[in-house]
Amino acid sequence: MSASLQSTLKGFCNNRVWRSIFRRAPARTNRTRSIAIFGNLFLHALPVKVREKSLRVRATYYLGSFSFFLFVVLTLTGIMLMFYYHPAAPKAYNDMKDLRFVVSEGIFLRNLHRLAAQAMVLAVFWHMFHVFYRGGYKPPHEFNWVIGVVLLLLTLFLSYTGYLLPWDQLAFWAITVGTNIISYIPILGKPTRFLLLGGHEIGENALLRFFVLHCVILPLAMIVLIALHFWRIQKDGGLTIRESDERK
Amino acid sequence: MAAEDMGKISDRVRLVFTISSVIFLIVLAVAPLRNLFSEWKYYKREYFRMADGRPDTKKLLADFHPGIDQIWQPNLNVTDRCVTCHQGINQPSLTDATIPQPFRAHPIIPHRATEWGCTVCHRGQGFATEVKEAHQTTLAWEQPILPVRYIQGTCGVCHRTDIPEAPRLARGRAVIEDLSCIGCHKLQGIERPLMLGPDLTNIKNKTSREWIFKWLKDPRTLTDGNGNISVNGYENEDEPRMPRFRLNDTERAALSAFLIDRKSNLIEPYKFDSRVTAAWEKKPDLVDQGETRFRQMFCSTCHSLAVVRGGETQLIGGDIGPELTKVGSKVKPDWLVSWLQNPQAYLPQGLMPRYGWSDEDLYKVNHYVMDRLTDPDLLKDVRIPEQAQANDIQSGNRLFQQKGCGSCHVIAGMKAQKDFGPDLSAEGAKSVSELDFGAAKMPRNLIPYLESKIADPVSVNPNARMPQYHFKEGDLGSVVTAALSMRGTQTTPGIHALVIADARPEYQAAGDFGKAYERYKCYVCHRFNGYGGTLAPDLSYEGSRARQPWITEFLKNPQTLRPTLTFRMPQFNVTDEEARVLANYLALVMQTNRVDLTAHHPEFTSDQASAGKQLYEVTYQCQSCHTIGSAGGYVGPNLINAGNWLNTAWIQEWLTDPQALVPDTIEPHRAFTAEEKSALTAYLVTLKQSGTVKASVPSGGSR
Amino acid sequence: MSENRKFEAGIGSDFSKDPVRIVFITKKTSAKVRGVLRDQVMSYPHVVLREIIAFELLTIVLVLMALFWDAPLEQLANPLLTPNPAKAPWYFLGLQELLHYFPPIVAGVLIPVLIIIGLVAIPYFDLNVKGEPLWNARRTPRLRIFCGIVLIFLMFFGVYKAWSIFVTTAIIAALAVAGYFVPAGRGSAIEYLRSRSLPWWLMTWFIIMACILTIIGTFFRGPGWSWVWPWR
Repeated sequence: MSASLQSTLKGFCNNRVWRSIFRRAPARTNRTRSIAIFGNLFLHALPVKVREKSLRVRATYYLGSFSFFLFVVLTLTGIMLMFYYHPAAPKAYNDMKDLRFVVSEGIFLRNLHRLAAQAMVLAVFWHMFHVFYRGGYKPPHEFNWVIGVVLLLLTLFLSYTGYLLPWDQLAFWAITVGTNIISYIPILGKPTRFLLLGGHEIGENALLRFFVLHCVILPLAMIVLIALHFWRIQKDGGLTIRESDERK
Repeated sequence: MAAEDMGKISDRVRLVFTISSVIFLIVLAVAPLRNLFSEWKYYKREYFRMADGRPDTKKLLADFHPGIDQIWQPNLNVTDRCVTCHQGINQPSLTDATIPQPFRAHPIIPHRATEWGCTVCHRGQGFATEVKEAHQTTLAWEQPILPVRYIQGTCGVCHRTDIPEAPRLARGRAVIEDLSCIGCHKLQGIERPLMLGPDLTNIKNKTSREWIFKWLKDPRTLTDGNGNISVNGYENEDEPRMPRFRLNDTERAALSAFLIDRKSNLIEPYKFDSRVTAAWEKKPDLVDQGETRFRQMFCSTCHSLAVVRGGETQLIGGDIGPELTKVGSKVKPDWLVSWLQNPQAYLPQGLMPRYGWSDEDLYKVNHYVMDRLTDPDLLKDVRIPEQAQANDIQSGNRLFQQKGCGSCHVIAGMKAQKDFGPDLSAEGAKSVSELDFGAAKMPRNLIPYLESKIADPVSVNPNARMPQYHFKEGDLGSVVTAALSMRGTQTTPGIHALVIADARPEYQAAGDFGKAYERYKCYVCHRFNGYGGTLAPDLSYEGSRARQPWITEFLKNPQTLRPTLTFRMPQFNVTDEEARVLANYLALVMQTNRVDLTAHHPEFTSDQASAGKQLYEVTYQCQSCHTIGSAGGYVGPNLINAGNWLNTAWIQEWLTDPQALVPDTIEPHRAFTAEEKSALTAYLVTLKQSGTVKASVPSGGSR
Repeated sequence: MSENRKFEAGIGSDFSKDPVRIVFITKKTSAKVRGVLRDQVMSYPHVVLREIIAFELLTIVLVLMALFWDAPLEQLANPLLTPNPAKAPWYFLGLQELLHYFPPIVAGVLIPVLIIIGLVAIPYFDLNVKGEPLWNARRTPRLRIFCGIVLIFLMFFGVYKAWSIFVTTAIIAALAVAGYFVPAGRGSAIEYLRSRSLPWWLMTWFIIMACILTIIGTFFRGPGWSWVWPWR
């Protein structure tokens, strides 16, 4: 039975449509496996081969992967939420009500987005601490560490800008507290706050600015830096294997 | 490791992959099912099932569709999805109480739900399609459904004038105004009057420290269950305007010490004409004569006295002024004389008119009050030294401010306290998070908060400064209803445009008339262009109704036109000059355009008059309500002097449409023919009592 | 690749010491693949499959949580109605807690900037490249400097009455110093602490501090930022 299944699969993978998409049958040799990686737009950031030790769960806990996947989930749910959202007060708040009470799966979508956002902050922090303790920042990974720190800040800022968008009391006052901290910066504080809020108080302008930051500018920056971050892992020689792991 | 093994996957990883993939697919497939279990879909199905089992299925399901229904009125900020579950609200066949909620029809009300939505009146969260979110206080919504007993509260958001459909609201507003809540709180739709409580600067002249002490304990007159009246002082058994503050004896002693210690201008004792004193001093019936005069002056129109009738004690008399049964034990004799002579010198904003006393009357009435209206036991239980101690005075001063006494009472030299309590003008719109529940055990909700706070302020906040009020049955609910109607300025433009403002007319009189008008406080009982009391007839059109000479005579010697009334116009002893000024003004200014006094009327013939008499006595049986001479009913006014009293044009207009002139008159509106009207008028103008009006008055409107 | 590194080019490179180089391109010869098999595996399907599993697990957990745990929504934003206390998003509550202790310029500006600079600077200081235990060499001078700095910090925290920070710092510093006095080769836990490097101690202190402050800010702060017990 298993043989017939395999032959069916083989036939499936050999027809014109499959080949037009993948250009080759499923990889069976190291050569075709290598091609499967570097011949694929989405996978070519990965090295063709990796050390077996870096595959172990304890080596990474897949924290980087989780962070990235969370970003993917956030992008997808975020785009869907944008169909229902107007960055205007108080329409934004009414949109939250509609999401909950009228839109099919609206509340589910919003739950997913919110949960993923919280989880991503956690995952990115954890990822950073884990890399530190494993010494992953050591040469030649110095610059990738710096990119990682910037990615952490971007994640926080993404989460923070998203916090305002529901336009409820929770959002409004959390952002008020946050932006008040900015104004403590000497000289630059007040102008920065004004620039961020588009005014002296949190209002429609601030909502629009946060919306643009949250949905356009920050995600774009994030995508560029994530790409750079992945690419540098490969270029810097793969994941760090500690000496202690090497001995085992 | 062989080169081709580098691509081999272990069985463990394969297994994990398989399991996780299966769960992954199941979870993704199941997640969207959550939508099917939403509450509103359940009610949609239930409604369908109920409608299906009834004979009028077709009608009930005419508008049925399986999605969300809503009433959308953007200008009112209404997006009410209530009708998604409450599907029967417009179905007349579902009014029966056996129909289960949420499907029952709405009772018929002036506002149609389809035009107004539900939440404008009921509150609650119109967006919501879940039972709890729609009706209750939640994190996302702090304005839950109003209990039906307070539903009139939302009428008042737009209807700032009282409407007959909302009696609880009107009652609540009246109670709030009566209790002078405005003294401490800002309230919507209520203006702060010029005077709330009496000026206490000179209270030393008026009464004793003991009386103040006693008054602070219980500022009112009570009737207990057995009908015994314990008369303490001023107010009657309604909730007194002066509330009962939570004070202990020490605090009462301190406050009374402070008040009695105020520096005041001691009044000079009035010097009665020595002839009057000599004549009356020794007369045995001085006090009885005083009582007679007291009655003749109709003091009881405003003041009540406790009277024992058939073994039962009752308060008899009006409630415009204070109850006076034991006032002789309260006030000092010199003060009483000066008060009676000129109340406005002591209390410029008071309601007491300034009578034109003769020395004799003043002497008699003063003695009556100080001798008869007393209770030697009234202040027996008060044991405090008359002389105030310095530390008492000091702590009294502090208390006066702490308790906010200055909100209602003025004391010269002390700062008036304004907005002593919190602003309540938007109390009905408060969110739960704006309310301070303290440690009180109650649902975190505006309505229980208001109920407890108003019923007993201490139950919510142990340090509350607000005094406790004792409401009559149902009044607490009325007050809560009125408080809920105060929702501040409406931010929704559509609703703001709907607000029907409560225009309170002010009638300011100037000149000589103004002086007399203020002296006799005409507006306390009479109404002038919408302003004033309702005890006595509205005088807005008096100039169109009554002839000027009659008004002059009436003011000098008021005789009631309706003999059955207990409350009558007091004898003010108006001077000739004042009577002339008042009558002049009333005749020339207080007129209506409906009655044209300058229009020319043909002279009435005696035939017309006798025809009118026939109509009056036989055809229309007017005597069943009106008296002429000694015969007739007592419902309408006595017409014996109608010819001198009423203007001809007024009679004509009155017979055409009485309600157009006095909207709430009980005079029947009959469709008289023009001949009948002329005949009746001709008859009425012949009714003249000789000797009442000296000047001869030309008939008709030829002034 | 032009900088002076001591590793050599060629097949003999020691993997345990030097980063793996797969391709070397010299001026004269064409590119040559000198792959070393050792314990390597192919990314396809090993990495790809594992990443898919990770993604699936993540999605399962997220979807299940999203089904039963609704995102909160409060009342419409109202600038006139300040909640007490007004709290920032949870990841900033540590910072907000700091604001409660220190002047705004310190807590709101100085500390965050120092944290970011510190994080960026970590790989550029050679301090911990080898992960050398703190008390391995120059023991006494290090102890003096360490204790001196810790005392200065503790005094700083004491002046501002930041007792939660004070106590945590003191405990962690005490554990670090304990490694100095404990002779080598005792129980495994103590041995573990003894062998930690200075950056390890610093990062551990930072993480524990951040966690404690965030937890205090989230659960233990009530009206007026006063201390409350969450279970009451």
